[in-house]
Parts: sequence; structure tokens; C-alpha cells
Amino acid sequence: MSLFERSNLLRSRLPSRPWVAFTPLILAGGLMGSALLTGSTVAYYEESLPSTMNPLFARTMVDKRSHELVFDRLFYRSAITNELKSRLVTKYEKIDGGKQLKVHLKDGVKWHDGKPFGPDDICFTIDAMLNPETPSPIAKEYKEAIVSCESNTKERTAVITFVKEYHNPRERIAFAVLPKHAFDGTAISPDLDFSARPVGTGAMKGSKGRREVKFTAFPNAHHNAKIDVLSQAEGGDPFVQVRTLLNAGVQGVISVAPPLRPDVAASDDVALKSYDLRSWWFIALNTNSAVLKEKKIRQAIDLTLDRTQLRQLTIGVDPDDNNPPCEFVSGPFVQSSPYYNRSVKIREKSDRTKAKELMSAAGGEQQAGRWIVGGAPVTLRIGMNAPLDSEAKDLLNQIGNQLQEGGFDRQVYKVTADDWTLKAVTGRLSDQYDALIGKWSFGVVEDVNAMFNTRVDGKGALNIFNYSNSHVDGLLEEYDLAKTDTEAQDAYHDLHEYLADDLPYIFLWKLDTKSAWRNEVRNNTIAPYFYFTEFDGWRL
Amino acid sequence: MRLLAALLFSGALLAATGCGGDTDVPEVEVSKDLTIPAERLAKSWPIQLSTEESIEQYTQKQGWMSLMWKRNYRTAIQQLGPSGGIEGARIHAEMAALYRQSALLAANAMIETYGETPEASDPVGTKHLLAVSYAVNGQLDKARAASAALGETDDPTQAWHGPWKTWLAGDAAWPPDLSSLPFDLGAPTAGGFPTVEALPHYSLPELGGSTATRDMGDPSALIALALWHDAAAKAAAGDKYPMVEVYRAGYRLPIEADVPPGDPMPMDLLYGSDMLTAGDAPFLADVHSKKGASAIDAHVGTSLVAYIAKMARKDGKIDAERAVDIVTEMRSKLVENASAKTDGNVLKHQRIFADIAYVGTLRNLALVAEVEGDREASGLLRINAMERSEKHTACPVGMMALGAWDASNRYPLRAQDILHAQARRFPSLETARYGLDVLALRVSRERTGETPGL
Repeated sequence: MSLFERSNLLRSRLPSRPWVAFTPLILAGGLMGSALLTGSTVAYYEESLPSTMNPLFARTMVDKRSHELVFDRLFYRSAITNELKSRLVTKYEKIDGGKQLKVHLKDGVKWHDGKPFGPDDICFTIDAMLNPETPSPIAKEYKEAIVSCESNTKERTAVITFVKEYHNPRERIAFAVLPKHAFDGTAISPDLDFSARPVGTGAMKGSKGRREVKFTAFPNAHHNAKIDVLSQAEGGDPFVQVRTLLNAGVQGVISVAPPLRPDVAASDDVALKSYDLRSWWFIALNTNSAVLKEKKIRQAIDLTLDRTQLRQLTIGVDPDDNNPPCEFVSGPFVQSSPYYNRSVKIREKSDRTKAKELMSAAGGEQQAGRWIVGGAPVTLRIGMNAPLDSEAKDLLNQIGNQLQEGGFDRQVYKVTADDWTLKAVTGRLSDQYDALIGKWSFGVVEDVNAMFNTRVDGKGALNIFNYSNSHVDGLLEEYDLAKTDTEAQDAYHDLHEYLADDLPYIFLWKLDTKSAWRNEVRNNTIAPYFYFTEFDGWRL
Repeated sequence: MRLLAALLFSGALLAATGCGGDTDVPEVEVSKDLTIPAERLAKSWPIQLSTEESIEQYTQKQGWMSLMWKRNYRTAIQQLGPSGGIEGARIHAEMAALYRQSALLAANAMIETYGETPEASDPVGTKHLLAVSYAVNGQLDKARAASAALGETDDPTQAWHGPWKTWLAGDAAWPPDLSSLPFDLGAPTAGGFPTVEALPHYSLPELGGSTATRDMGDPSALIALALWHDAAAKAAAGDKYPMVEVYRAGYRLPIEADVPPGDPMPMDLLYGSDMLTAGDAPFLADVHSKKGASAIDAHVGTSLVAYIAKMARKDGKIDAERAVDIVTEMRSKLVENASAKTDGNVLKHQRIFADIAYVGTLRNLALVAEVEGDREASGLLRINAMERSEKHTACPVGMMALGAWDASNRYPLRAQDILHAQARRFPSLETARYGLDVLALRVSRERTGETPGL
């Protein structure tokens, strides 16, 4: 029985409180604090459970964080000094000026099933990513950089060949290594058993259940995790998550909602931890729907929304905070990014007068406060990725309310994390929704091509409503083909400006992510983007 | 209150006797566990200012409130005005340090981009940018080589390079005379707050067949601002300036000369600062001099930061994890010992002071670890300090120094966020954004494995 299941059993013994009824598991966890912290065991709340444990099919940040525990990336960057390192490679040699890289592997590394790790595994992983029959969303960038891989079992080396000379080829091979012996061939499918019971060489052996993911330490030649068991559960109500943490029911919460951060900061037992991740929130609009294909209507919706009020109601604002966690954006980048086009104005407040003008110009008539277009009321079916409610409480309803006040009928739905991952971002909810509220998260790389490119020839893989615009495609191609950093920046500045007008997305804000961990968990360095890169150093 | 401050100051002077000497330093035993002796803590400003009466002199002045509680130097400097005295000098010293660190941030970013990973298409003008960047980092040979390679014509950086060329051709003794730069900050005056406007300073055509141009803010402007505030601090402090110079000696540029450790700090320079005791700034000045880490033992009797650095040693260097444990324990004791002076009641300001002391000490230990050559430990301490940097603990200089350190590690992301936040209050810092942007762009295009996540 898992720790979380045991916690749940105690629920019936708890006194009745209004919020207990909705999130009993978490509260029970709070009262079970001492029980949870037995031996070297740590429990924490994630935004959701991972959609897969196979890193080839990682889509969510939960996936990426979870995989970091179970797998080793061939090369990775230190969370402290940013030094490029490897736990699997003892030395490397650039060949042919950087067009090839020969890596020498560490001895004694074992897979979690006890089998030895070797150079064949590296080449197998590369071959799997290069195989067009492996529908991996992360493989594209490797396909663009790597030509082939040749292993030498006797030497314990692999030679990786790149499409061109790279200044630092190690940057191009930061993929998680898979075990060749666990697959029948290099065409890998996402629905294999491996996606629930992965075999890696990482610090922790992972197993995904229906309600939790359990990670168990796996001592190895290159890993020595000091925490025996790490138990991950889905967070749920953000208030209860924090109460549970403060009551020592769990030891960590990956994402603490901004309004609850002062409570955490005030505690001497818990510390807020920064997590370097660039996330921006959006409302994707269905440019193929009967009503929203008209740009003026999309612009009218944008003008109907009052972002300042939305932020105040769902996230909260501290007027004394010089570095607020939430900052409006006018395009698909955070304001501190070099790709952000500062000349594009942010719309902080609604402008209902202008919205009306646009609706009228689009052929709309207002009857009893409701917009009628083509003889029918404009009814918007709006969905939101359900876990976002933990960070911006009630955002879906607040957006719905503002649109209703502006004359747009609305129906609101929460989209489960699984449906969001498997259907929304793959463009399979286009016939069910007019608008979808979500967020994208980035590390140092801020490539947004997959979100706005026409879905064709493997491009536009993250295009939610199959938006297609030849001008946008042209700008994205300019970015892709840019020979210099400045050319790439210019292409994205133009893209930003164009999207802010064409509005396949309504851009809302960036929102910082802060974790909270109890002080019992020590030396818990959080790596940018990947989070658990330095997990070997964590201890109780 | 004035009497109390005077007594504290004179006490600190007595305690500091022998500070800075190179020889005959008595061996000071440090605590082996995590607890700092109460008598050492008693000399720290959070304990000396435990009671409400003891902080009255600071809470009644608006300038101090802006400085201490909001870290808003611009407002504080304006509120204190030309007669700001040592407080005004302190704020000018903070601004000078902030501009120094932002210049270092831009310089590190330029070196990592145009120096370490040059491309044939890099724009005209990178030689000037590299010359300045290497210069502030104290790499004069490289600075001179870059300066010598600067084209004679059609280079928009020529007007900015003039004073650097002259300086590099001479003995390169800091500071350079930047008065001929193509902008005017006006004469330095106490209480003033000049800004650099009209950004970008110039646009640089890219080479290698590119038709794009790279907008750029020149880091020389940030150095000019730092030097302006140095002069304003001098005007405000008068004969006490040597003390003000020591105050932020830990955040000077690598090219700059050592600052003699001088006298212990008065309470006006200690209150709300990263320092704990009167001997800490002199210690940090010494540790950044040619003495390096040997200054720890020399100052352990007079500086609490030096004492903690010695307590945190493992194998002859600061152990970051032990240092964090010691400072965490110190924070608890500061609250406990301060509240003991107020009948056991924990006052709000006692917690805040303990938080400032916690974060400031981690930052200072990070500087010491850097001098010891342990970047990993330094980074861990810097990041631990950043985690607790909120409002009153979010010292702009410390944050910017983290950004500069990150840029030197080729990690632009956190630096961008820091710079973006600080530029809201100090718009001239936008100048550094141009340099950081080129690093961020280069890094973002050389990486794989960070696809967008849901």
C-alpha cells in the first residue's frame, strides 16, 4: 500500500471541515506527517501525475521532472555553475572539428533491471529518435542535429556524427538514454508497458501507479541517492497542499500558488525555493470555428477581457513587490526574453467600447446585451487545463464571467491533464472548443514554432487549434533558417507583433513558479527546467 | 540615541584593534558546532538594534525607510537630498556598486558570446565591446589586443572607444577618464541621480552576409555611472569617505585596486546592510585584496563574517552546506537573543533584521568562497541567499552580482530576470540588457533537450 493510500485510509477519522470534503486525501496526509516521514522517505505534490514515464514522449513539465529522476541524460548542465557534465561519460573527443564526438563510457553502470549499460544503448536511443516511426515530440531537434551513431562495445565508446561542425557538440546530445534491451526495435510506441514501468540508469527507479508515482533509490556506480523513497502525488486544491506541507504531511510542493506564498514564507519550517522556468499563459482561440475565424471577433474578445481584474481575482497582486510573480505579456515570450518585442503594447484593461465597434464591424448585433452573429448568439465553449486551477484559482470562471458581461455566452469546462496532453496540444479538441486556456513552459530555449506553424510535415506539432497562416509560417521559417542570432531575434519580434494582432492566442501573463520544501529536506538544489538534476545531493 | 550610537561605534573601534594587521594575529578558536557564541552575536547590528527605542533614529527618517524597508535607492537618495551625509554617501555607494555589477554582468556576457564563442557573422564593433569587457575583468592583455584590432572607420563604437584606447595605451590605472564619452551625466552632486537615456547607444551591422543590425547599449555608460556615484558619495561623506569606500569593497570590479580595510563601520553603515558587525566590511575589503583567503584568520577576532567563514571550514575551505546550517542557526539565535531584550516578545523588526542578516551573511560568505576559488560553494551560497531575497532582503547589489556571476557561467536566464526586475527601479540598467541579450540568444540557439513543456 502506498503512503498516499495509507493516508487516505485515515480520512474517515478526521473531523468534518468544509474543505476536507473536497480534498480529503491531502488533509489526511497533513495529519499523517510523522507517518509519512519514516525512514528516508519523502512525499511531494506535483501539478499532476506524469503522462508517461518514457522520456521520448515527454510533453508536460511533470513528465520532464519525473524523468530526470529515473534517467540519465548523456550530458547535462550543473544546476549551480552551469558546467556541462556527464554521469555516463568519462571522457570525450571531438573528431573532424566537431562534426563527430567520440564518448568513452563509465564502467559499472547498471540499468534498474540489473543489466549493464553500454555504448549500444546510446546508439539505440539515437536510432530510435531518428526513426520516423517513433512519434516522439522531442526527437525533432535531435533529428536536425544528429546523423548517426556507431558503437564499439569492446572499447566502450560511441561515435556520434552530426550534420555539421558544432562549436560545442555536447550541447546537442542532452537526451535521456534508453535501454536497448527493453525494446524490440527502434520504432518505439508511446503505449508500451515501458511508459508506466520504465528502466533507466538514473538515481531512482520509478513506477507509475494510478494515484502516485513511487521512486526508489537505486545505488549505482554513478549515483548514490540519500533519500530511499520519493513519493509523488497529484496536488489538487492549492490551499490544502500548503496546509498539508506546513503540517508536515508532505515534504514538498512543486508549485505554490502566489497567494499562498506569504503563508509559506512566514513559516520557520518550510522554505520557498525558486525554480527557473519561463511560463506564460494564454487563451488559444479556434481560428477555424464559424465565429472566431473572423479576426475582428477575436480582437473584440481580447478587448473584452480585463487582465488586471483577472490577475487580481485569481492570482493576487502585492503592490509593494518590486519583482511580482505575475507580469502581463503581449506575445509568446516573457518580458525579460530577448525575443519579446517591447514595442507591442500590453493590454491591461478592457475596452468595451472598442470591442463593440469591432463586433459591429464584424456583422454582430447586440440584443439584450448578447451578441448575435449570423442570426445566432455567440456561444463560446471554453476549456482550461485543469491543473492550472491550482496556480490561478477560478481563472476559468472569471474569464467566462467577463466574456458573459461583454455579451458572449459561454460554457466552461475543465480539461483533464491527460486530455490536455493527449488531445488538446495534438489538435484533437478543435471540434469541441472555441477557446482553450493553458500555459507553456520553457528553459533557456524559447522556440515557439511548434505552436503556431501550420500542421504539415511534422511542423506545428503543438498547434492547438490547427491555426494556419502563411505569413506566420514565413516568419517561423525565417527563424528556423536564420544564420545569425539577430536574424532569429528579428523574426521572432515580427512574429510577436503579428500574433498580437492576429490573435490565434490571447496572451495573458507570465507566472513564476516557486516550490516549497520542508527544512528537513536538505541540500535540495533545484535545477533550472529539469528540477531533479542534482537529486543525489538531496538528503534528510 | 546619538550617545548610544557613539558608544557602539567606539566599542567597535576597540574591538577592532589589531584588525588588518599582517602579523602577530592571535589565534581565535571558533565554535566547533553550529552555534555562534552569544557574545559575538551581541556585537551584530540586529542585536544592538533589538528594541524599538534603539531604531527610532532610523524609523523616523523617510530616507532610511526607503533605503532599508524598500531598497528603493532612488527615492531614498532624493529624500535625503544634498545634505544626506553618511547616509546619502551610503546610498551613492550602493548605486555605484549596482552599476559596477551591471557593467560586470554585461562584460561577462560579451566575453562569453563574442570572446568564447565568436561567429563570423558577429557584428562590427565587437572588438570595442570585448576591449571594455576584458578591461573591467582585469584582463588587460586581451583588452589591449581587442582594442588594437578595432577598425578605424565605419565602426559606430569608435566614439565610445576613444577614452578606453587612451587608457589602455597608458598605464591603465583605474579609473579611466570617461568624460569624453558621447553623453553627459552632469557634475557629480550629493543627492543627485543621473540616468542614461536614449538607448540603444548605437546599431552594429552584422557581418558574414547578414543584413541584420545589432542594437547595443555600451557598458562604458554603466561604468561612468558607477564613477559618478563614487564622486557623489565622496561629496556627501567628506572626510569619512574612506569608510564608505570600504563599505562595498567586496563588489568592486576585478580591475580595481585594493581598498585598505581602514576603520570599523559606524552603525549608519551597518544598519540594514549585508554586514553583521563593524569589522565585516574591513574584512571583506581585505579578503578582496592580495591577501585573499588568508584575511579570514587575520580578521576572525573582529569580523563575525570571518568568524563564520572559519566555522564553516572543511578541508581548509568554506563548506557551503555547513555554512548554510550555521547561518540558519544564527538567524534563530538572532531572533531569540533580540527578543530576550524585549521581555521575550518577538517584535516584527527583529525577524526582519534576522532575515537581512541571514541573507547578507550568505552573500558575504559566497564572496569569500569565490576568493577561495570554490565556485560550486560560492554558487550554492549565492543561490541560497537568493531564495530568501524578498523585499527588504532583496539587496539590488547582491542580486545583480548573482546575475553577473551567472553570466560568467554562460547561464543567462536568471540574470535576465534579475536585470528585468531591477531595471524597473533603475532604468539605466537597461544598458546592460543589450549585452545580456546577445548571450541569451546565442545560448538558446546552441542547446537541445529543452522543448516547450505543458
